Amino acid sequence: MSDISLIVLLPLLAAVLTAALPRQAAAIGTLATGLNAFLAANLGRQILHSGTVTEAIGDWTAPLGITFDANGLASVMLAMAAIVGLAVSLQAAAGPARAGFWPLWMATLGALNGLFLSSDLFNIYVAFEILGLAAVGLTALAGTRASLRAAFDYLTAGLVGSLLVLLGIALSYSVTGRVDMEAVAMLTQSDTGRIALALIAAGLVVKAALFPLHFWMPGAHSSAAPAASALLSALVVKGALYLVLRLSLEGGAGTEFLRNTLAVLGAGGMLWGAWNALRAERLKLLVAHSTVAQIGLIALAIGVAGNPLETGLWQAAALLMLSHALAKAAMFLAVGRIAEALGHDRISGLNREELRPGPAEFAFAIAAISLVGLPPTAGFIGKWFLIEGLIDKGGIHWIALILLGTALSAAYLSRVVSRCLRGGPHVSATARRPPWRTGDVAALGLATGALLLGLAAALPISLLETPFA
Amino acid sequence: MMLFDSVIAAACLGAAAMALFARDRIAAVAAFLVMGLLVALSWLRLGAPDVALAEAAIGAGLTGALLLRSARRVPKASAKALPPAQWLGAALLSLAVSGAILWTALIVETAAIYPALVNEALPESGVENPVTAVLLNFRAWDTLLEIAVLFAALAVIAVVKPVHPRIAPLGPMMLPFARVVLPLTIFLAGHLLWQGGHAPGGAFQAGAILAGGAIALGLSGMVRPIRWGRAALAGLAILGLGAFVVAALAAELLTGALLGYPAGAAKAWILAIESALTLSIAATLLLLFIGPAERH
Repeated sequence: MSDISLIVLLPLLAAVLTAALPRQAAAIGTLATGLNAFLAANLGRQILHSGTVTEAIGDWTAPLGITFDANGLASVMLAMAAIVGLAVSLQAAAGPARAGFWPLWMATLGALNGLFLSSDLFNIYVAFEILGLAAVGLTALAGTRASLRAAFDYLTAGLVGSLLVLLGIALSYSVTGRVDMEAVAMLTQSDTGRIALALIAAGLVVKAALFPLHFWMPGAHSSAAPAASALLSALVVKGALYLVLRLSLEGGAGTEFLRNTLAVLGAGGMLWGAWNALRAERLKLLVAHSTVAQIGLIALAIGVAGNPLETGLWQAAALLMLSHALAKAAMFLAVGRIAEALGHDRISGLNREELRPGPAEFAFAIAAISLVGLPPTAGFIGKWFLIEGLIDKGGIHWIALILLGTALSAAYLSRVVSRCLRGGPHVSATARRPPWRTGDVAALGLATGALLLGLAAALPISLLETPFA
Repeated sequence: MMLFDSVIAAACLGAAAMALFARDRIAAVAAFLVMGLLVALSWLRLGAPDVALAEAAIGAGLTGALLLRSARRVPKASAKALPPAQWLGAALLSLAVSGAILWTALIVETAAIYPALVNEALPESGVENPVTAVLLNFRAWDTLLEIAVLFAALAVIAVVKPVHPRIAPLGPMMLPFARVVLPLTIFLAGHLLWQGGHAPGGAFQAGAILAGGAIALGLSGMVRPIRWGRAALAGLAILGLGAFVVAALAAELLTGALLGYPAGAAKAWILAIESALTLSIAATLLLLFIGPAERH
C-alpha cells in the first residue's frame, strides 16, 4: 500500500471511527495524527531521494482519471499540516472534551492532504467543500452566540467562494475539455481561459481571506475555541493559498495580470491587517487581524514571484506559509492558555501584578519573533528569500512595503509581548506562576519548531528544489 | 418544442421570483419546490436525465422538505430592508455569475475531449452507463470525497445541535398514503440503484428517494420514535464513508492501485459500494430532517 493512499485515506477512516466511538475519539484522533506525521515524513524522505512521486487513482491516468502528484511543494505542505496537527491534537486530547471536535478535525486533515496531493481541479474543489464545511463546524464548536454567528458568516463567505471556484472550473472545462492541472497552462493561452482562471482566483481570494474579501475572517478566527482557531488560521486558509501558488506554478508566464493583482491585494492586506491589529482591544482579535496581514504578505510573495519557472521567489511564499502556520498555531494555543489563566483576553489587562509570565507568554513571544521575521526563525528565512529575490529582480517598492509591514507587525506584537513579559517592579514579590498544562507544551513545542525550522531550513528548501515532474 | 422550452424557462424565472418575494414563508418554499421541479424538467430537456433525477429528488424534494420543516421554526425576518452595501454586493455577484454562465453558453465553444475518452474506456469500467462509470470508476475518488462532504455536513449539524421538535403525525390521510408510498419508494430505490449500471440512476437518487419514503412513514405516525433509532441511523450514515474508504484500501491490496477494481469484477465492486452509499445517503438525509438528537 502506497504512502500516498494511506495519507489521504487514514484521516478519513479516523474521522469515521472518532464519530462512531466518541469515548475513544481523543485516543484514535491522536494516534491518527501521529501516523499521519510518520507518513508525511516518509513521503518527504522518498521525494528527497527520488523526486516527485505520481500515482494514478484506479490506474486511470489524467485527463480521464485523477492523479496524485507528490512533489516537493506538496510534501512541505503535508509536513506543515502534520506538525501543526500533532500539536493541536495534543492540546485537544488533554483539554476539556468537546464532542464533535475530532470527526471535524480528522475530516479537515483528510481534505487538506487530498488537496495538497491532488492534481485535478475538480477534485481539489471537492476537497475544498469538505474543508469549508468542517471549518464551519470548528468555528461553531465553542457554542457561544458569537461563534455561531461567525460560523454562519463563514458558511456564507465560503459558499460564495465555492460558487466562484466551481464556475471557473466549469468554464475551464468548456475551454480545454479537461480538469486536470495540464489545463491550467492551456487556460493562459486564451481570453476565455484567463477569465476562467480569474474566477477561480477570485473564489480562492474569498476562501483565503485575502484583503479586501477578508471581512468574515477575524470574527470567525477570534470567536472559535483555541484549538479550532489554531487549525483555521494556520491550516485551513493555507489550502486556498496553496492552490493559488500551485496555479501560478502550473500557469507559468501566462498569468501576469492575476499575479500583479494578487501582489497589490497582498500589500493592501498586509497594511490593513496590521493597522487593525494595532487597534484591536482583545488578544484573539489581534492575532486574527495579524493573520490577515500575514496572508497579505504570502499573497504578495506569490504575486511578485513573476514567472515561477524562472525565479525561485515562489519558494519564499512556500516558506512563509510554513513558518506562518507554525507561529500562528503556537500563538493561538498560547492565547488560549493566557486567556484561561487570566479569565479574559483584553490586551490592556495583560499587565498583572499577581501572576508571573508563564510558558504560554514565552511561546507567544517566540512565535511573535518568527512572525516579525527576526533571525534565526523560520519567518526570517522566508522574508530573507523574498527580499533577496526582489533585490535581484529590482522590485525596490515591494521591498519598502514589506519592510513597512514588518515594522507594523513588530509594533502590534510588541503591544502584547511587552505587557506579557514585563518583570521587575511591576510584579509583586508574592506573584505566583501559572501551572504547566498540556496546552503550554503544545504551544511551546510549535514555537520552538518555528525557531528550529529557521536553523534547519535547508530541509524544506531542498524539498522545494526537487524538480517538478 | 421551442415553445415548450420557452414556457419552462419563463416559469422557472417566475417561480424563482415568487420564492424570493413571497411574503408568506410557506408560499415561498412552495414556489421554491415548484422551481426545483421545473429545473429538473429543464435538465431533462437538456439531455441530462441523471442530473434531472438528482435535482428532482434532492434539489426539489428533500431540500423543500427541509425548508418547510424550518420555515415555521425560524423567527420572522425583520421588516428592515437590507443595507444598501449588502444589497449592491449581492446584486453585483449575481450579475457577474449569471453573465459568466450566459457568456459561456453563448460564446465559448466546448472542447469535447472528455466524452470520447470515457466512451473509449467504458468497456473496461464494468458498467454501461457513462455517468456511473465516471462517478464510481474513473473519478471514484471525487465521489469518495463527496461522501466525506456529507459526513462533514452531519458532523457540523451534530455540533450546532439545532432544535428539532418531535415530528407530529400529519393527520388521518397520511397513514394510507404512507402505506402506498413506502413500499413504492423501496422498490424504486432498488430499481434506480440497479439501473444505474446501464441507464440513468445511482446511489444519490436512490438514497434520496428512500429517505423520502422514510419521512412519509415518520409523518404518518405509524412508527413511534425509538430510543436507539437515531444512534442506528447515525451508524448507518457514517457507514457509507467507512465502507468506501475500506473498499478503496482493499482494492489497492488486491490490484496495487487505489480504488482500482480487480479485472472483471468491477461491476460487483461498484454495486456493492453503491448499495452501501444508498443506505448511508438515505440515513444522512433522514437525519438532516429529523435532527441528530431529540430535544424538546
